[in-house]
Amino acid sequence: MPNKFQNFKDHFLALFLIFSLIITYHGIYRGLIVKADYATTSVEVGNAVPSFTVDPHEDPASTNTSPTNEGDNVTFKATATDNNGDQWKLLICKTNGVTGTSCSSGTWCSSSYVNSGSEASCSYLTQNSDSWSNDWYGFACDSQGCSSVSQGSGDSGSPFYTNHRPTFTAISDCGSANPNSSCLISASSTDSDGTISLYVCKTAGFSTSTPGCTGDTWCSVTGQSSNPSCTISNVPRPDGSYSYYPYIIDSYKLTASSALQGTEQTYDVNNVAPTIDASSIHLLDTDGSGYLTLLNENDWTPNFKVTFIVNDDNSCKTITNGDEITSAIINVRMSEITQAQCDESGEYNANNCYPAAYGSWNLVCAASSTVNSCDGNTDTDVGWACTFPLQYHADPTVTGTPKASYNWIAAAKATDDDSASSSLVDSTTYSNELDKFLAYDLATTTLAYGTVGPNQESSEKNTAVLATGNVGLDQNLSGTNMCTDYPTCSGDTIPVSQQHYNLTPGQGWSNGTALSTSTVEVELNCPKTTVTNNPASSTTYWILKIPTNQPTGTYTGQNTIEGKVDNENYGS
Amino acid sequence: MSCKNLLLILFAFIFLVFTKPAEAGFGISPPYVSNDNLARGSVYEKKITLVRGNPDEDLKAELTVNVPGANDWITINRGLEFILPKGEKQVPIIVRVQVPKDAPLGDYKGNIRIKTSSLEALQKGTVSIALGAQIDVDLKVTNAKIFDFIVRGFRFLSSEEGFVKWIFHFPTKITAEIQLENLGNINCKPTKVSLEVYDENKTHLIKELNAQKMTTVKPFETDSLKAIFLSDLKAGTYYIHYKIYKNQEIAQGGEGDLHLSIVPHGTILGYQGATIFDLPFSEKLIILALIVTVLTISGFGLLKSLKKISREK
Repeated sequence: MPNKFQNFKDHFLALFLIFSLIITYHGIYRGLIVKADYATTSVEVGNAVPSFTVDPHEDPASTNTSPTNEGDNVTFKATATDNNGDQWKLLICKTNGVTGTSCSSGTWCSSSYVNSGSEASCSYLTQNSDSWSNDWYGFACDSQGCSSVSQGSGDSGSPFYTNHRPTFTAISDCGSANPNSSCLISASSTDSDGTISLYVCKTAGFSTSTPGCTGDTWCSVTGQSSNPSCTISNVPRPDGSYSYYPYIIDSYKLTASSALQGTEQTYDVNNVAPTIDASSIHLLDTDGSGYLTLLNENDWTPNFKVTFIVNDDNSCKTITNGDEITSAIINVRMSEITQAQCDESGEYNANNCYPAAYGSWNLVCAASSTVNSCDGNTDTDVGWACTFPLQYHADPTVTGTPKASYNWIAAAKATDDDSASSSLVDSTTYSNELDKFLAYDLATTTLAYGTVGPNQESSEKNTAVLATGNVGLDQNLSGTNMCTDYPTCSGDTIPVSQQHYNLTPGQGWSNGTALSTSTVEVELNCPKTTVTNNPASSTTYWILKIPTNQPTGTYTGQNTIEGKVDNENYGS
Repeated sequence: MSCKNLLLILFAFIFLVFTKPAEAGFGISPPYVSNDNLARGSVYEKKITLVRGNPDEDLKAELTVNVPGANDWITINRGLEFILPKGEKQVPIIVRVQVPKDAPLGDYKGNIRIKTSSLEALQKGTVSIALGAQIDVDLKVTNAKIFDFIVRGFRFLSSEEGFVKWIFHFPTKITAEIQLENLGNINCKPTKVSLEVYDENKTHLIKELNAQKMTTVKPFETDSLKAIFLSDLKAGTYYIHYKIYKNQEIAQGGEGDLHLSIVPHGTILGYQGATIFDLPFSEKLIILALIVTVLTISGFGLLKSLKKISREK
């Protein structure tokens, strides 16, 4: 509003003056002249071109260290006075020459007319077609002519500088990289005015003022003359596709306008197969310590354990924070058997080979934080534990047993979420021994001699010992006298020695060995069982001979069979 | 074939299939107590599990110790007579051998016999059979102090990278858990535990570390002990060749290769890393100097106050 008012006032004054001159000329002065009698004078006031009182200059100055970015304005300002009081305009030309009040050969910009003594300004929107350095020539022009040229001086004087956008025509990457290795990101980019920088961001978003990624940065490189590239030195471990967003910016913080700028790109981290260190495989007893010990006669003993640590360069986590290692198996065998002889279902043998492939073997494997915790996607280790049962006749390997030169080993194998598997790795250092397990079944727990007359022998009875542990057996035999008032035995008694035993049938009472109240070892030599459902057995044959004159009665007694290890074959 | 005959065959089949003779099973695991390294005054314990196949009634177990010269040393945690409860397939007992301080040196061999019998009256007119088993005993008393062990397991616990706080450099703390079976008759720990630390691909040796702290395992016991290693290793994966020494030699089970993963500081929730006691010596000195300075100043202040109070009085 003040400007408009000022203009109006100026115009009014100008019109008043002109009007006054006309009236004066046609009236008062003409009368005076007439009165002065006919002496005439004339003058023609010529046009005076305006002249700069403040030389044209850029505001702000556009210099070679602080150029004007392409697409931004260069603003020129100047102040001039016109002796005629004419309005004037600022003319910024590309060459040093004007024709009339226009540039002879190209105009950067031209202001509107302003009053004499006022500041005029004009702006030029810089173009990609501009040169880096652009000379300019300033003129102050009224409606009839222009002043002599002025290029200003210093930083704000001619020339102005146009900084061009960097080009960004292509982006390339390693394609795929192994976990925790490096990945080179390369941009095809040039800049005619200075250096360029490449920022590879993890998420979309870039701050030109910083300059830098608004989120995390994969890598960056600055001050490159062209084709900048940077290396992601430690790509993540989890396999999968990773996004990145490239940004090119020049040294004057002017970003590239390419469609590639900030556009999502991806590189892949390869899946690698897991591995298992042999020394990490521990074959453990049901209580976690000591030799493997069987605890169920004629049956499976559950809850033996194999623990191991799976190493995976992809870490223990997937890219979505799931579990990298998804399954594992073990084969457990006595070391007399090779790994290749114990990895198929048909190779199952309860004495010495328990392959995972055998469907009836109750093997359960799962990741175990107790063995080794998974501590995120930088942790390459994770513990696994498998529980499994062993049959009662699995071969012992401790000192004194036939297989003492062997031990029990576990072969472990792990598979990741992409079905890549480790090799089948045998335990070495921490294999284990299987201990002796003495157990037996008796098919019957009574000897019913029936009715036998004095001085007569009973029919032959037998006790069959079945080996239901993993060792061969002998037996200790002892007994009590038979009596009618057992266990007091203060009445009629048949001495225990009247019971004779043989280890082969049909030998008769007289060829048998008399039973005693004292324990006697009998070399039963029952072999170790080798077939689960068909326990090895040895039989003892019994005959009772009733003494002459033995009173009639119902006699009761008790024999004791103590199983013992067949020390000749299974050590003490 | 008539319906009547078919019915008879069916009954016969059912009888054969579903009726079993009276079977009884008994066992012991393991069937021995053996120790070659007993020192005078030492105590050795062995767990033996009594096993029954069909525990459908309570049974009385009677034990007889027959180890000439050593009967008095051997006790059973459940006593010489106890009940094997109905329904319990496994009943563990602890055989405890307490060697007198004046025990003659030598071998002691014998057995412990176990006899089981029913608590109910025997079937009249028959000879019942009681089941039992024999535990072989083989002991040797020696006057030598025996340092012997087998390494039964080795693993690394989770490790975090060390960190810097103020001016203090807390090192990376690596903890190895060693499962050790002490075969000797004195407390033991490995003579030395060392780690050769290689890069992940085992292409070059980065450094060697020796355990700085270790706990011990009691005689004849199998237990885990922890070995602590302090280093400046950064987060990453390393290949470790470990050696566990018994005197100058590597112990049985005392050598192997494992990967070690060290995660960045702050990754593991509740992680117990290095403390001020694990700082380098020079930094411990700084802390000590600070403490001394503070105490001195406090002491002077206290002295001054006391003097002032006494003057006022």
